[in-house]
Amino acid sequence: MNATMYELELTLNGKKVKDMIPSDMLLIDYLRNVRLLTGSKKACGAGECGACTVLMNGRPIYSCITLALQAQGKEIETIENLSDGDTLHPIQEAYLDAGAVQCGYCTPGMIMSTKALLQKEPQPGTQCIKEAMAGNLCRCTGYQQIIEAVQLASERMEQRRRDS
Amino acid sequence: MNEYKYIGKPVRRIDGQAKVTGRAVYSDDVILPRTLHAKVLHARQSHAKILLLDTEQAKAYPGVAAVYTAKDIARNDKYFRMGDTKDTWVLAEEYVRYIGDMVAIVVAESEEIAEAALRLIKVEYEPLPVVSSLQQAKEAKDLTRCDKPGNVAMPIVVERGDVEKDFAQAAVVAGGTYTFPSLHQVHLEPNSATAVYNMGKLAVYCASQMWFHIREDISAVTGIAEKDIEIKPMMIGGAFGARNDQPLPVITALLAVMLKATVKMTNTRLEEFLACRPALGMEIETWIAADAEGNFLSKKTKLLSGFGAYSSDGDAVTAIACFRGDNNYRFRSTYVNGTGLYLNHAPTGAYRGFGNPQMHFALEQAIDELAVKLNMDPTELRLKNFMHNHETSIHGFRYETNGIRECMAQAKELMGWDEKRKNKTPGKGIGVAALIHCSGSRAGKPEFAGSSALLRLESSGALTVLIGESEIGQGMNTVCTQIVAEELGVDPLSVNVVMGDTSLTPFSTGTNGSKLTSNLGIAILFACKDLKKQMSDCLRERWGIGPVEIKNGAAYGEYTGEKIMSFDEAAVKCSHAFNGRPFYGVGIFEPKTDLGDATGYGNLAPAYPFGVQMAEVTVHDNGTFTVDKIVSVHDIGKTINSQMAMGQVYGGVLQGMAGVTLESLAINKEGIYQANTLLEYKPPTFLEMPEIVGSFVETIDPYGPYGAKCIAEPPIIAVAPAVANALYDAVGIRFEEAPITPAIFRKKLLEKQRENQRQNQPEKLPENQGQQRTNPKEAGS
Repeated sequence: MNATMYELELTLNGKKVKDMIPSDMLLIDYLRNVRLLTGSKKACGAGECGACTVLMNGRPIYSCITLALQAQGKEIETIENLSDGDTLHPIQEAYLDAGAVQCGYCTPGMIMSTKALLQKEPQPGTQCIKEAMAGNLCRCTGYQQIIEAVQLASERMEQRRRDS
Repeated sequence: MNEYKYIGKPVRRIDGQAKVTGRAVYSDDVILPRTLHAKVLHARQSHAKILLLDTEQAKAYPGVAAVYTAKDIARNDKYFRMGDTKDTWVLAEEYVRYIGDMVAIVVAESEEIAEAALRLIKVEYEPLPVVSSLQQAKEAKDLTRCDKPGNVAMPIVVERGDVEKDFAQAAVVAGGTYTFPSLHQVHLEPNSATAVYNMGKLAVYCASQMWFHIREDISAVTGIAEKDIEIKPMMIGGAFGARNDQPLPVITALLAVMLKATVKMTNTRLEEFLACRPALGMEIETWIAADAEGNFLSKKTKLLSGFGAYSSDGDAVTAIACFRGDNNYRFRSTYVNGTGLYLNHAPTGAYRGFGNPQMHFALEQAIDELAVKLNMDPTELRLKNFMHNHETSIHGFRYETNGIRECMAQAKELMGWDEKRKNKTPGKGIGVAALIHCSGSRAGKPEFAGSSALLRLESSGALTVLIGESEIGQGMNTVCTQIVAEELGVDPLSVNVVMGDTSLTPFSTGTNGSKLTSNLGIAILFACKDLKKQMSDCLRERWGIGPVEIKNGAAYGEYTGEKIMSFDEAAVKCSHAFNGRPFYGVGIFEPKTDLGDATGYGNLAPAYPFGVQMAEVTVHDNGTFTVDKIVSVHDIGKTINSQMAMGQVYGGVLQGMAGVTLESLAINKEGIYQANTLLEYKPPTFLEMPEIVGSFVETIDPYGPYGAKCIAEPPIIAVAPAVANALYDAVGIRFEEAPITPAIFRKKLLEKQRENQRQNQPEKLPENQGQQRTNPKEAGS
């Protein structure tokens, strides 16, 4: 209970932020309880389900098994950064169009994993999607429509790149 | 056939934007000021007498608001409504009876403090014998609980027709004993609740499939009248039956009342496994008698089901397992002897399918076995015995529409059944299983069978559907908007839906039995018609306009067909004519169904969904197998949302497949769940997906809205037997016990090889086992 307090400084969703936090605080708890970014979910607390997935310097990580201080000086991106409140990110649009959302509890983590995948591999094949996303569990969809959403997002983002 | 604008179309989810942006608020996302946090001390033993329970040190820990044990709780025995047996307590009194039984609760300023204080509670136990298996419970040498002699929680014995006579006349009898383990629903969102007590009133933010029943539970345990309790529905991260009976919100509410404070409690994943309500494990011995042509005569079943230490939904689940599967086929007689048994593990209850998957695992394998004995194609044998339209089944189900034959035809086509049976590929196997379920079974609910809905129109033209059921991911809120949009011609995304705020919505018996689209959907349709009539009457009587018809988002002259005013203008006129009151369309659907008589006979549901599921498996040279493809064809009545309906099929099929090949709680002799993490329990990932081919047969049921029945539960029901039958087709081994894990599969395969070698059948195994195929006629013997 008497963990030492440290100053954490990081870039969170594009903005520099600074907080005093206990050294043993997990990144998911920092995001949810200190920054009130409740989009990332704590569903297993053991790095098994991926509902807490956020991007650290563009790489997907389980924030429930990452100490907040590990984010020191890094860039963290959460689901809250993808939409400006008026328009959706193409990945978010694709999830809706493909019917890839049911209860929605896995969705923020799924979308962050998709974002990381499409940054690294803009046109992934089905097997590539399955392997890249295997760290995210979904209990509702049977995954089929999520795969379709990733493919749809990939196509649309490719189209957008060509158009611009 | 009618042309619809929104019905049957892939309309986007109305809660989708909130869910993809992270803005959707689930129970654990509720953060209120001055909140205390609670943690539960769970039993460390599966069965023990509590000798000492000392909470003094925990109480003295800085930041602790209270530590409670059973003796602090005035209404400790008023727990629970679930089950008829009323044999549960809030906190354990003299004994603990499963790992997860609740012993004490700490409430503190933070979750961390509560956890630290929990470790200071001293408990001494005197261990008692643990009853961990159905056979052990049946022998009753050891008792799960000293107050339940014989370990029997419920018996069912029913005979219809003359079973002995029919068995005596039979040319062929087939069957066996099939066991299905206790599975966990694993909805991804752990239970969480926040309860706010203030001046005799209580508000509880939580998730539930039964908002009104959880309010009843809370009232019973806290002593606060139901009208002073408001249940605030949060977004729900999956349910699958597990949110029929949830201790957590009830206890959170109780703590808020005891401390006159705001209290929040959230389960860890481990607590989800230990202290919730998984499905019933069952052991089912079933035999089917048929004549030489393959006409079914009779069925005889002995069933044991595991209730856990206390009653939850076990009695209703067991009853459905005992009866429902029989109704798909024409039997002259049937006998069932079902016994629910207490076991020293978590109380068990509802999981998608509600006992029906367990029985289908037995029944559909027994039918497969019968086909082998009769040397018949298993699809032909089923087709010969399925029920028809307008027939009444042996347990009293009456079918207005029955598309099972069309389902079979489509499934065969999609699997390439005839071709694959004719030209068998070594190492591959195909299997079939059929299913029946209910669209809105009463499942023992005494109150009423139907649903009611309100549709509120405000002067702004805003439309809000008010219903007492839950959105658990299945998409009912979107279905509501589709129906309103279809009837009034407005944009579905403009329709608001309130589901389950108990201070606003009609009473509902809950979100279960795959009843929402069929029963609630028709109530919403009626509410739309009622609202249109009220608007039309108001315009004519108060404004002298019309008669008008409300459609396409406007008011049209009934005779001229010309548009008179927009929907929003009509809304203003209606509201202002009555000094600003909103208009409420009221819809009530009261199905003509029975609760069932004392023997369980009766027409339980307004409509019945049917389906056929097929699996294709490959057995590999290293002694493992994969499920390559599952075909799932459903008589859905009428599809309301094509995309969401298919989503239900994909999700249900994968759950079904995982339940028979991957998942197990692995309960050991000490009653301990050896698989109590997501890693060990093994819900499937992207990498375990088979190819899933879903398809629908639209029979257009006379009751449901636009002819709809249901789709939520059916896709899980017959996957397990289809996979087991496909494995039999591949290797000639009957897998009577689920889950068929790689280890069990390989063990059985080696046993089979040794047996074959003993019989001097030279087979080059194990190197080559995938290439070997046995004659199915011999293999079953």
